[in-house]
Amino acid sequence: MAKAELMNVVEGEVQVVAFKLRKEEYGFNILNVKEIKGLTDITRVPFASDFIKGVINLRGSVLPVIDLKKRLGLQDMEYTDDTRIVVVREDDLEVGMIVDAVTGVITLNGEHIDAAKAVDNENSRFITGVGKVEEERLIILLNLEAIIGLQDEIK
Amino acid sequence: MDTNQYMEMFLEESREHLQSLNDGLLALENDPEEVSVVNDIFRNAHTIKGMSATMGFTKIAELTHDMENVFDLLRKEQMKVNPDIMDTLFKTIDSLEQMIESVGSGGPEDVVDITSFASKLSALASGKSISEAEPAPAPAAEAAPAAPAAGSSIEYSDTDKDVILEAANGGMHAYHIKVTLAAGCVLKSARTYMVMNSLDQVGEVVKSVPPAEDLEQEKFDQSFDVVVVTDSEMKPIEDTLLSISEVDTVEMTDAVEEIKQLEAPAAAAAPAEAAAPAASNVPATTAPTAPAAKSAAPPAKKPAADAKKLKGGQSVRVDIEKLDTLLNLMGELVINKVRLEQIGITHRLTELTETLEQMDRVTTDLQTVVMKVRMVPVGQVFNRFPRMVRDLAKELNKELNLTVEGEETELDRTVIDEIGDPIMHLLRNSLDHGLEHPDEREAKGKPRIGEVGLIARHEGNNVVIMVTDDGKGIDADVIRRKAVEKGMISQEEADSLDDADAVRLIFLPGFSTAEQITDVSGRGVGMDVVRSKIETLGGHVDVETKIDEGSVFKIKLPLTLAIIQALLVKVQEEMYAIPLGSIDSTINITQEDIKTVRNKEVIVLRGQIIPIIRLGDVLNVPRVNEKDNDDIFVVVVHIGERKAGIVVDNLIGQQEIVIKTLGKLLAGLKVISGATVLGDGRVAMILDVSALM
Repeated sequence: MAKAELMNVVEGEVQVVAFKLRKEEYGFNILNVKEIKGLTDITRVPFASDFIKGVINLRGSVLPVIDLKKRLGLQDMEYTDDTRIVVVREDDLEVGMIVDAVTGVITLNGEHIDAAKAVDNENSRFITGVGKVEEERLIILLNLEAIIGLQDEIK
Repeated sequence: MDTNQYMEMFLEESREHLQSLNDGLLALENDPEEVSVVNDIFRNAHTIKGMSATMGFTKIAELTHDMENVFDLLRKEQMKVNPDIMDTLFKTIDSLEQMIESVGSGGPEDVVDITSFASKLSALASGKSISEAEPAPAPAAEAAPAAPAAGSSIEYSDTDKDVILEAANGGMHAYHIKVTLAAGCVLKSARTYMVMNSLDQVGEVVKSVPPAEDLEQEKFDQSFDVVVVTDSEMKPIEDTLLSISEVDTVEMTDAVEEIKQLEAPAAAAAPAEAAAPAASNVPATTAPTAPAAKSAAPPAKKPAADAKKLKGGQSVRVDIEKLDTLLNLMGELVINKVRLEQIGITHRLTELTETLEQMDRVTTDLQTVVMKVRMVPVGQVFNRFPRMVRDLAKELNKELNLTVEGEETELDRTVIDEIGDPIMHLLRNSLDHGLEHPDEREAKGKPRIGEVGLIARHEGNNVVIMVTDDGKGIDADVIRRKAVEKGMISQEEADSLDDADAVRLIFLPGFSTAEQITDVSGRGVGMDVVRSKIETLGGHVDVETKIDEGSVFKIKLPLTLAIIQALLVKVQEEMYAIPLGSIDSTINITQEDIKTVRNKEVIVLRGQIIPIIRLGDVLNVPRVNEKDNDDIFVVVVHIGERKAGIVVDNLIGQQEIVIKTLGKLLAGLKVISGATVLGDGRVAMILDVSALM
């Protein structure tokens, strides 16, 4: 089901915005991505969940920013010149995601996406599948809804 | 006629008139001798009748008409006010309200069986009437003027006649003008618009045949009729109209004469009916003079009122969403202005700074205007309470006098929409728990009639709404005992609370002291709901009480929810905004000034012991630099009577900030009530002072 959801209605293909978190490559469906911007000042929000890095000023409105590595249980890394904030949208909720680098927009053929069970660990609920491009390049497709996590663990 | 587009206007105006009726009746009940009130409510009823008839709601019109008959008798002092009459009238208004709300939501008109009211009302009317004839049935009366209309191309409704005849009494002229456009006129609607426009300039158009809507859509042949009330003579109007191109002929007749001619044969045929409603119960007034007698009673104010309604050019109805957008844009503007100011200061650009000062004035004015546009008088909420209090007092067998003050105090629209329920709850509470029964009051040596007050007023940047009563007050010991019984606090905690704090326990969830649970209040879901509602509006509620002297519930609300004055403070590298409304003062102390009482840090300020809150610790601010200076900045804040000192590292300054929500993802955080974008583009959190304390 997750797989079907990922597809663009046209010809079983899905376009993703690919980015790096440490050594691995991940992707969000391009339809969820609103913009990509460089790192700006992030204001810490007291009492917020630990994976929420803070808020930024996005052209006058206040946008929460999630530390994606922390959310996925990956080790922290210093910010570099390549660090980006990917602004995504799910329903009417907009959130920024901090990623180590954006690698590009990639078109994945539905046949080359394996369902989430292929990667089986505690984070599997954040993952909808793994896409394969070229020979050795794997892109882990993320479940935005679970990452934003409106259904759990806010409080 | 398609009346749908007028529905909203009809509903709104009907509600207003019903409200006035309610108010008027309450005034009349309090002072039965004050007959002048009846004149006003008679007019309200009359307008409702007219409007509902136009909209095709005959049942509403009928019921209003019956009610009008009773008012008429009261007005002419042929009947005295008594509780029976008042109750019937109140119930009639309730039914009208139900009917109007029902048609408003697309339902049927006859949700209420009006026959019982109708017969009661006519019984009231006829019972006191000296007439030998039975009261004229309403529909017949409406139909009467229609019958002889054949001679003229225009029919006058009761309302039209009233307006015209009253205008005539007031020394004005009413003309029936028949305008014929040139054959082959292409832009008929444009020509009619010009005609109407020039008529509007000399007087008021009270009627047009066909109606204005059809005129606009060119649903007429070559000619149309209008009736105008004006103080101008016939000739200038005729000249003006003829000067409009493609207007062929203009025929003018005196509308008053026309009506009299129409009335005469009708009156001769059926005297009682033609003269209804005024004359039906007053046989002494002869039929031909009936219209005059009818219009003589209310002073000539009516045409003015009607004229205003017809013209309607003085105000515009705007969708609240558009106002919200305007406000958002305003917010952006303020942010950018502050940003520019900072650039000017950093780069020492005097020219820029000077220009910005000018701009600052303009934006401040603009902001005030935008804010004002959103402001609504609290009277809009208050006006439904007198009636509710009256009914409730009857139900509870209590006697009281409700004083309402400061209805003109204005609040932001969003606050107004939410404030009704909490106030209602406080009023109910005062009536149910606060006020004693009359006998009990007498035994205590108080007047039998209790005093309940609903007062709104400005207090700095806030609006304060108070619900007061002179009832039995709240016994702090009872509250302590209950709170311990319910396991909300321990005995020690209860003992350590002073009386004022003990009384505040009533705002905790699940607290209700009512010995008996009534359906009025006291289901244990009262005060905490009031408090949380007020707090979501950025306000707070407090209570002051004295045994046997009464209680005062005080709601303090911000004037607006969007832009506030705040003090910016710094803790380590983080910036926070504290709303100025809750700040008392800022002081500069040293470490030695901080004392410890029961393991809590306090300071003594002007003889008062104030607990201090170290913001950095509460908010877990990461330590970047250890403090080396001995100076400690304390922002003294207050919520109601309670004070606290917030320790910060630095005071940055006072600034106007635009409140932004943190969104769904960060909703419900403690201590943080929102965020704001500072002049340098960074985001700062706004502190919720009440949650800090």
